[in-house]
Amino acid sequence: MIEFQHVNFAYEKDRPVIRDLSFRIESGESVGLIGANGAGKSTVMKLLLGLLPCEGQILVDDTPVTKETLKTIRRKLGFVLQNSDNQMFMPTVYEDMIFAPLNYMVSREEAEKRVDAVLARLGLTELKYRHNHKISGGEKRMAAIATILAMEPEAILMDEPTSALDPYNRRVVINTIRELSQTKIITSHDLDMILDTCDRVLLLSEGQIVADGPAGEILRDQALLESHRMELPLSLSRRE
Amino acid sequence: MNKMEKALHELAEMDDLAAQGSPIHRLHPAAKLLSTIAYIILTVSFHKYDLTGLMPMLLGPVLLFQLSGIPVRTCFYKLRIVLPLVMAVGLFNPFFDRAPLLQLGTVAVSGGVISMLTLMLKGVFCLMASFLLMATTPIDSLCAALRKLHVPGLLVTLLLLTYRYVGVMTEELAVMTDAYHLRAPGQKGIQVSAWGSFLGQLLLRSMDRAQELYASMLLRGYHDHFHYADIRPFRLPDGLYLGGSILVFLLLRFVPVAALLGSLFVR
Repeated sequence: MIEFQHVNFAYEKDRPVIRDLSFRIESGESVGLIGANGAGKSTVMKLLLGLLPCEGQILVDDTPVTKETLKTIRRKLGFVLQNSDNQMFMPTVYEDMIFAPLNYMVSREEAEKRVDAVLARLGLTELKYRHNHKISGGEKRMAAIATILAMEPEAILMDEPTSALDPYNRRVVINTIRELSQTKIITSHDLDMILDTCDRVLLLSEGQIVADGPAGEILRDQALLESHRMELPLSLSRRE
Repeated sequence: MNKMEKALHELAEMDDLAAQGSPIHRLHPAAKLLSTIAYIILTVSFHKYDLTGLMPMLLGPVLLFQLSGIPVRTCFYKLRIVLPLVMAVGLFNPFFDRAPLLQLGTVAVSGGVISMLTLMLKGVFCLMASFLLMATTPIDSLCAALRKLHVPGLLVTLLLLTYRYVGVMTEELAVMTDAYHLRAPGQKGIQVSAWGSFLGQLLLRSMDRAQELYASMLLRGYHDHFHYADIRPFRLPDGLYLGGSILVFLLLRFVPVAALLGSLFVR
């Protein structure tokens, strides 16, 4: 369970990015966090991960996100960054995948089993010993997701998981996300992907939630989307 | 592939070298680290005119290069940018120290020339030893060893991140250089007038990326501890290597090997 209670945040004084934000996400939900550029989507992710300090309270499984609880909280949350190059900092895919389990004191034997299982599940076994800088963008994105899955987090946060991917790799990532059983929070401008992968959508505008409801309902509301500098998903606009 | 991408490729090759499995690679990182430190201290401690005494110190790295299976030419190739800087150290010595120190036939060699050569060789030998350490030990294992030797976590993290950020910075530099040249066709290099903003942008972009990269490490449980580094307990062979190598270096330092060898041929 993830809960924001009256959260406020500003990078600069007098220019709030997040304003009195409150919402609750239950375990197992798939939530799309959408909004125009600068709406505060990535900031919400960073606040949840304790990367930025804020006013108000953020709870993960009833534990408040504070300096003291960060280690426990971060153990539960896996974050897939928008730029996979920044996520994959070890020389090879294998070393990157084993990084988190070993940091969380999982034995090397168990960690290696996890790595192999995740790679097999995602069909990435041949990437195991490849150098991160030598794999393609699509492979890197999948490998970045694999590094997070090897952590076995309770919730997965994804920042623009399909950006800069070709249609094939985009579809591979979408299918992978759909198969994940964990709680998912996904920020994206790719509304078709959100429609495909999320049950619920939070529409963020100027740091506030302006709509919260089933994905199929909100993403069909043309007037709502357009009033917040967004458009209907392409798959829906073609039909209508 | 532009120059920056080549540089990145070379950086990755260092990781490949460090991942090999020679007897030297398999040693405990702390043993290699302490042995390298001892070598550097002993090499630097030679008197500025003791060129002949210094020469045998080359034996240490050459032997270790052989044992680790890393070609010496790889070392000089990788260090080709730093080597001239090291060689430049002491370049002015011949101008300040002109007193003749020895006579080679009819040519009087000044103390400045000897001290310049000594300084250059000290620099080259120390670089070779440092390269050998980096080429036989993954950076994470090296950092883990430093932590085991009680070096403060902050310093070790700085070392690790500096190593990682060299790659990040090089990538950013590659992107910016390409973007610049695409809009300045026919220009060689980057115009002096653009240096300021170019460097400023590079710094800001690298900082942004570096912050994100560090956040990614923190979010996956990194906290100054290197649990993920493949480092095994310190064993007898590691101790033997450490003790043996330091003993050899001490012998090379304090026993006039060159003079003894020379006395075999010259009476």
